[in-house]
Order: sequence, then structure tokens, then C-alpha cells
Amino acid sequence: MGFVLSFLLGFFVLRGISGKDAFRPVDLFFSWGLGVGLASQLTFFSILFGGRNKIDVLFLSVFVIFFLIWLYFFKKKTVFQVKLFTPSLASFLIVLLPLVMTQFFIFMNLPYGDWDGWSLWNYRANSLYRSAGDWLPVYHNAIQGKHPWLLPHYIVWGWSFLGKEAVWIPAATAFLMSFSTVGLLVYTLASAKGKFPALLAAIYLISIPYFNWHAAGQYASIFVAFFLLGSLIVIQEYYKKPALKYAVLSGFFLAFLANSKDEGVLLTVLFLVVLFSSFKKQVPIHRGAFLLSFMSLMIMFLLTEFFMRSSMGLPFVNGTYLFVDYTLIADTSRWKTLVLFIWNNILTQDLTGGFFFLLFWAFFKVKVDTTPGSYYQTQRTFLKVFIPFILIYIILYIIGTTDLSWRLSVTAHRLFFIFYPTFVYLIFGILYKDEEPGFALRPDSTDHSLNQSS
Amino acid sequence: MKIKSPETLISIVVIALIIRNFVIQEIYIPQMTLSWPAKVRLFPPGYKVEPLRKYLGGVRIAGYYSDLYDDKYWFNPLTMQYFQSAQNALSPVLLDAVHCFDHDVVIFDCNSPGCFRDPSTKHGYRTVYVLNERIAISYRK
Repeated sequence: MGFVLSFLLGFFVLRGISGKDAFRPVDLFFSWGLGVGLASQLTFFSILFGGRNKIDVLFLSVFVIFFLIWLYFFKKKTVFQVKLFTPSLASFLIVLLPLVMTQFFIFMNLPYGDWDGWSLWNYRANSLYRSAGDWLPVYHNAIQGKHPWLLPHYIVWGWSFLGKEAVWIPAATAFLMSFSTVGLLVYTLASAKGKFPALLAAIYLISIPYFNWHAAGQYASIFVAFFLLGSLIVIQEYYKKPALKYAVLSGFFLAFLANSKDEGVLLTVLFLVVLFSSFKKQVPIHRGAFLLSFMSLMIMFLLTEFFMRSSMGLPFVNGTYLFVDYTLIADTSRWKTLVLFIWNNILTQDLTGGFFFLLFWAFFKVKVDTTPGSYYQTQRTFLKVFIPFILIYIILYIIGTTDLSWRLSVTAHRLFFIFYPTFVYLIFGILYKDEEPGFALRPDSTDHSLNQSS
Repeated sequence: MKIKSPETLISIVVIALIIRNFVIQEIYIPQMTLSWPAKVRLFPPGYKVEPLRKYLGGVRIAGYYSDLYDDKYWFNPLTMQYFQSAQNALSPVLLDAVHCFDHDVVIFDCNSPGCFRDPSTKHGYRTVYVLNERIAISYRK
């Protein structure tokens, strides 16, 4: 029930901001991501203002409001672009079979998730769900409170509508996020490159061992992976056609990216730096909508965090982030450890599935294409975010006072995991030609008329 | 065989990688699922655990944060079963016990606030063994 309602919430909001654009298959996955993020935020605010038991009341009122907005903005019947179901549903589901089977096996073996899945993410959701009137200190805790709360809130959302804690809710959430990440990849690629490359990209992503297993581990990493890919796609779509829908979605997805995991906070900041570096050029119209959607979520979230922490006399920035020693940057042994680890355990590791080989191939093969929204431009936008991100994390690894080998062994794979879907998207976008030249750049209005004729 | 276009070459390489990756998954997955499925149980609320008390003195479960990682087997006192990894042994115990106040036994995170802040007074549990500054085991008298 919680899953369906959050999806409907996302769907109605998306229809509300889509104007007269036809509903495309990829919008299913945008709706899912939007719904997850909004449901998580609603859970947070319903706990903050009314206690957990008020969640249904708050949801129903918000649901009605968005439904009315949808009716207002979308007076005509929704048009579904059936012709753009390039990969048929059957072929898509066949490709997904390995994902379903592997995740089912992992769920049976580790029903509570992998290590941090049960000891951190689900544990926080459980603390919150059972906390009743004592929920406030859960957010302040040094261990639990320092990470973003999107995933635990969404699990609480699922439990609230179910009426009890159920082990399958976090597991199903992990699966649906994996499914949506693959769906986003397939249907976006298919609209530009055709059915075969899109399905090949999907099955390749699923075949990467670490991606498949970690996605099922009930960590928040799959949320970061989804919202990172989603943010990049909506920004790319916005560059192709600066529509209100994509401006608002960009704002929402970047805000959700920041609320999903610590790495997401840095990625969002870097995306904003890139977008704001030439704001009028990068965001030519609907700037207010973009800012409003992003800031409305972020300001509320940050102010509330600030209010809660200051009211309890706790530092706004958690102290554990400050355990650094800047003199370590001159320690060559740490640099050697870092380089050797990345070479042995990331670049040449079986579990990364030959991923970096394809990545280097694609990036050497990329051709300059100044068309707005081209894969070349999208790659450039992404590299402006990715390179500083990796450099910052390398510095943090070096100057952090915790044991470097241990820290790398438990976090480095996760760090690269969040980029797998995005890089697979870019690799296949660069290596394969458009199925029909210019097809991907066809304005939605043309698609709309094409669809209406069907 | 003549490769007609760069896309064909790319597809061949990607398909080869996909096959290789699934073979790797086939190798790794059985190692991950040694205890699947019979040894992993979910505990319904109200599950009563008499056998645990006699194991509290031994607290093999203390290995969560100690140096017992080298042990070949891990014992889950709730299920009376052995597992080949600490994770498999502990995740059902820790999660289920912590989450269900109806249980006889609670293993809790001492740093957790709110409902777990003081289980000994708030929920009628008595701490019998503090493993370290973070983890403790309690049971209801």
C-alpha cells in the first residue's frame, strides 16, 4: 500500500508539472523516484509536527491537494506514448530476471540486509518506528543522526501503511529502487539508441556482480545511484528542451540526492556549483521553478535539522567528520596504500565486471558534439561533478585518522557503486549511434502529435 | 567473421563481459549462501528463548566487536545454530531482539537514544553483560 501510494503521489505531481506533454514510459520511473522522495519528506514532517500516527492524515490531505493541482494543470486526458515502449515490457522483464533471482537469493540469505543494512539503515528506521513519543533523540544520536534520513523515513512510511514492521519492506524497497534504476537506464537509452543497446546496457549493469549484490544489501547507496542517474537525465532533458517539468524535477532529484546519503550531499553541492557557474546559460528559463523546488525541500530540511540540534545543544556538523590530520597529506605510505588498493580492488577486480575497461574505451571514443543535451555535453557536465568529487574523497581518505586500509576496504567499493548506472548510461550513450539521427532531440511536441495520431 | 561496424565490435565485447560477469556471480553466490535457506529464521514477536540464559556467560556473541572474527563458527543463541559468518549469526539476533520488546532478550546499542536509552528501567530489562561501550545484552527477569 505504501509503495503504491508513494508512486501515485509521484505520478500526480509529475502530471501536474508536465503540462500537455504526453506520458512517456520513462515517466513511470521518474514518478517512482519522485514519490519515494516526497513520501520520505512527508514522513519526516508528519513525525516532526504530529507524531508518527498522523502520517496517514497528512498524506491524505497532501494527496488531495496534489490531485486538485493535477486536475487544474492537466484538464485533458493523459496521453500515453505507447510507441515509445521501444523495449517491449516482455523483453524488459526477461532482462530483469537475473536481478530478480539474485536479489531473491540474497534476501533469503540476508533477510535483514547486509552489514550496514541491518546495523544502520534498517536499525534507524526501527528506532524511529518504535520510538513513539521519544523520537526526537533518535535524530540527535551521534551514530544514527549523522547520516541523511531518506531511506529510514521511507521504510517507516512503508511500515506505517502496513501497520507493522515487516522484514520484506526494506528488501522490497531495495529491489524496487534497483528495478527503477535499470528501468530509467533502459527507457532513456531506448528513446535515443534503440531497443538493443538499451537492453544490453541493462543486462550489463545487472551482470556487474558488486552492483547486483550491493543493491540488494538494503543500503542507501542504491538511492544515491538512482537519484544521481535521474538528476543527470533530467538535466540532459532540460538542456534538450527547457521545460518546466525538467526544471522542477532537477530541483527535486538534487534535493533527494542530498537527503539520501553523505556522498549525495557532496554530489548535490557540486552539481549546484556547475549549474550556478553560468546560471542564466545553464538554466535559461524556469529558473524560479528549479530554485523553488530545490530550495523548498532543502531549506525546510536544514532549518529543521538546525532547530533540533541547536535545541539539544548539539553541534550542527557532527564531530566525527572532524577527525582529520592535515599533516598526513605528506605521508607517502598512505598515498601508496590508496593507489595500490584502487588498482587491486577497484580497477582490476572481478566484481567490477570489466566496467573500467568500457569506461576508458568510451571516454577515448567520445566525439565533440555541441548540440544541447548531447551525450558529449552530458559527459562533460558529469565529469565536472565526478572529478572534484573523487579528488575530495581521495583527500579525505588521506587525511582521515582512521586506519586507511580498513576504511578503504569497507567504503571504496560503495563509493564507486553509486556511479555504475550513470557511467553505464554514458558509456552506451557514447559508444552507440542514435537509432535515428536526431531522434533523441525531437521536441516533445512532435512526439505528442506522433502519439496522438496513434 | 568480418565485423561490419564499431557497434558490432562493442556489442561482442559487452556480451563477452556479461557472460564473464555472470560466471563470476555463479562462483561467488554459492559462497554467500552457505546458510541458505534453512538456517536463517525470522522470529515472531513474543518468541521465548530459554536456552539463551545458559549461554550468556560464554557470550560468544560478544564477537561482534571483539577479536572472535577468526573463529570458524559463530553461534546464534536464539536459534541454537552455528553459522559460518558473524553476520549470518548476528543479524537475526540483533535485529529481532532489539526490535521486539516482548522478547526475553535484548541486545542493544548503548549509544542509541530514545526507546533504547535505558532499557533496564524503561522496559523492565536488566543488563547482565556489557560487552563494550557500545553493545550490551539484557534480559527480562
